[in-house]
Order: sequence, then structure tokens, then C-alpha cells
Amino acid sequence: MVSEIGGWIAAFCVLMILSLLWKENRVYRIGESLLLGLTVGFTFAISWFEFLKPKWWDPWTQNLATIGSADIAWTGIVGGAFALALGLCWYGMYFKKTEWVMRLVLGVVIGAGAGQAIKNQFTQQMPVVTASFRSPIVIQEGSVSAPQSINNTIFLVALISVMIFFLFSIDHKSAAMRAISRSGRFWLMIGFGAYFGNTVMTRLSALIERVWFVVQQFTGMN
Amino acid sequence: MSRLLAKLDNVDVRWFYGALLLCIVLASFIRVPVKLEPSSEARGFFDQVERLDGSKPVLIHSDWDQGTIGELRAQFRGVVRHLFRKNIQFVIVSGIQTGRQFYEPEVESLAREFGKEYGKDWVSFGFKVPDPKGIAIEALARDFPAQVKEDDRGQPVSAYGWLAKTRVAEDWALVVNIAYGPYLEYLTYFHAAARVPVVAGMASIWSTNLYPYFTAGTLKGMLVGARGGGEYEQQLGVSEFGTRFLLGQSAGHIILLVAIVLGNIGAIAVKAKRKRVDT
Repeated sequence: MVSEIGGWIAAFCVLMILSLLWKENRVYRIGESLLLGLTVGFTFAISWFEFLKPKWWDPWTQNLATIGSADIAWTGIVGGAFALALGLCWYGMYFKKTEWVMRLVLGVVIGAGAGQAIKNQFTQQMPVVTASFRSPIVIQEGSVSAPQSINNTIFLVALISVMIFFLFSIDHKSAAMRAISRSGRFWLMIGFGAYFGNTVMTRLSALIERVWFVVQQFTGMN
Repeated sequence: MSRLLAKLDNVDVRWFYGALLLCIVLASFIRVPVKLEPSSEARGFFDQVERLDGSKPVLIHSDWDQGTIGELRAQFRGVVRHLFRKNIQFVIVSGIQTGRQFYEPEVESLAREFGKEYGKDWVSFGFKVPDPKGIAIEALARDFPAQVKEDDRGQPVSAYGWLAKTRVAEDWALVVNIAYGPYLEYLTYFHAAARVPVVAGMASIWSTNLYPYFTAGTLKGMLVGARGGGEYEQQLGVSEFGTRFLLGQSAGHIILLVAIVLGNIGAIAVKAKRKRVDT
């Protein structure tokens, strides 16, 4: 019963949001505010109950409870307090005088992020770079594989021409350089086209699923 | 005639919205068998799951919700169905707060179908991979029980016997990352560091970024958007939401293509009309 009511509320919320397709209206604005408010509230609650509480609050309060006993868990108490202090530093951004406090934690995060990025460059990008060294002639079982060879040749032509397109150290004055550079732009356009096509596909999928959900709610069809 | 064609350049966009919605609604009633030839990336994904022997559990990172349910739900269901069918135990974590609310009903419905039990065949840890994702994934790879602490039912990892030996990256058989944009940090901390194969399901919009990793062989398999969900179902020999969804998507694409053609005809007609007036 509860899930049925929830389903109907969800279906009407979808219609509220889709009403924007007709024109800007109050029903849409109400739906939008509802969605934003619910998202913020839900995100906060889940962040607390599924992450902050078990990872920080519960261990810290357990450690705090040891104060007064013979085995005071100093490491846990100080660690928890340090984490709280660092977390609170983010709120320094809301006041001009305390902005510098926020920069301290920002520095830590940027430092850790930069360290990871360097590692990622080697572990993620290097295999991609080495995999791009392909032979234009592929021999499989003693004979030349035409499909693979064509595939690799197209790949190499695209790779080299796009790299030359972005090579600004050499003037693109000669006819050959201009032609290769222009071909690089052509390959890039194909890439952007693929990006755009995929973007449309993702957005359309989101719409189809919601429309089908509303249809299912009204018709009972599964 | 040319005046009529020129009108196409200035059609109220709401006609297009109406046609698109109508087409999508009609497609929801159509039941025709869809046959797909699985792509090499979808076959790679399927083969990785097929190759599992059950000696180690699988880590599923599920990051899909209301925004990506259309593309990723079928992918997720396909993988879970495959794991249940092969009696492979698995663990689910999420990097978005809304993740559990979406994956849990799907796993539970499939668990009922296969007679599987929570705690024995699968465990859900919910939102345990917060931002910054890179650091959280590194923590998952270094010490899984310390990072997740407890599952959705308040139990620690040690409460489940089959997870007792699962601590570092090497202790996993496979990492499955289903997200709008999968996290490449899994390649760093699980594949590069511990040789654990990583497969990913993603929204179509993100696939262009990830194909280089698949061709380089670091990403062992990919499921791309709605097509990926349908391909996985075809490989499993089932036909449900993922396969049916392709009909809706095809209907939408037809309307888009028709609109692009008509819009261009309109633009050309207007240009020709202006040229005539000028001369």
C-alpha cells in the first residue's frame, strides 16, 4: 500500500517536472523545489547514518567513554577530535576573517589529489599510450589480416594527424602540414560527433525510463 | 511548396516534444523480439563473470539512481543474475547516497527468483565510497573491513564467514563498477596494483572516454548504456527490461532523426527563399 502511494506520488512528480516542456509554470517550480529539498535532506541523512556515524561518531564516542577509566583511548579521542577540527575548517569559507582556515584543509585535499593524479598517470594512461603503438600490418596465423590491418592504419592516421593538429611548436605553413592538420580536425569532429550522439542517447534514455514509469503507473502494465 | 517547406524551419518545438513522448509511449506497448549481436566489449564483460570459479568474492560498486536508471538498471540486473546463476558470492558498495535505495530492490527480487539469502550469497554495505572517490577506493583496496565498518544491517565484515579473508585488493576475484561515469581509480588500486580484473558498466555519454582503456586491455569489459544492458540480457538468454528498453530508444532515435532531416530541409528552403528575394 505504502509503495503504491509512493509510486503515484512519484508519477505526479514526474508530470510536474515534464510540464516545463509546455511552458514555464508554477507546478514545475513546485516540483523543482520539492526535488531539491528532498535531495539535500536525503543526502545529509544517508551521509550521516551510513558513513559518518559508523566511521567517525560511534568510534569517537566509544573512545570518549573511556575517559575516567584506567585505559583511556587517547589515540582514538585525539584522532576523532582532529577529524572534527579538520572538517569544521571547511566552514571557514563563510567568513572573510576565517577563510585562511579553509585553505589549510583545501591544501591537504589538493596535495593528496595531486599525489594520486601522478600515480594515476602512470597506471591508467601509460598502458593506453603503449597500446597505441600499433603495426599497420597485422599478421595472424601466417597471413595478413586485412580487417585488423585496415583498423590499425585508420587508428594510426587519426592518432598522428590529431597529434600534429595540436603541435604548435612547428608552424603549419607547408601544404603537407596544413593537410595533416586539417585531417586532424576532421578526426576530432568525428570524435565530438560520437560524444554528442552518446549525450543525446543518455538524455533520451532518462526520459524514456520516466515516461514508461508514468505509463506503467497509469495502465498497470508491467 | 517551398513556402510550406520553409515553415519547417520555424515549427513550435512543442510539436516535437509531443511527437517524441507519443512515440515513446507507443513503444512501451509494443512487444516484439529484439535480436542483438553482442559487441566485443560486452562479450569481454560477460566472459570475465563467466570465468569466475567462486573461490573469491566479487566487489560490485553500484552508482546508479533515478537519473541513470534507464541505462544502468538492466546492466546491474544482468550482472547480479549472472552471479546468482553461477553461485558466486558478492558484495555491493555505493558511492552515492541514493545508491542503495535503487540496487537493493533489484537484488532482492533476483534473490527470491534464485532462492538466495542475504549474508550467505551477498552482502550490501551501502554508501561507503564518499568523495574524494580516489582516496576512498584506495582505502577499499588497502583495508576493506576498516573502510566499510558495517553493512546495512549493522553487522561488521567479520560476521560473514566467507568474507573473513577479504581485506586487501588481491582478495577479490573481480571488480564490477556500474556508474554514470565509472571510476578509473579501480584500475590503479585493483588492476595495476593487484592484477584484479576490472569491468565497467556506464552511461553512453561516458563511453567515449573509456574505450581507450578497453582497447589497451586494462578495462576487461564494458557495458555501454541501454545497449549494454540489452546485450548482457541476450548473452544470458533472457529478455526483460534491458531488451524491451531498446525498442523505446529506437523509437526516440527515429523521431530525432526525422526532426533533424525536417529541420535541415526547412533551413535549406529558407536559405533558397532568401536567395530568390535577393536576386
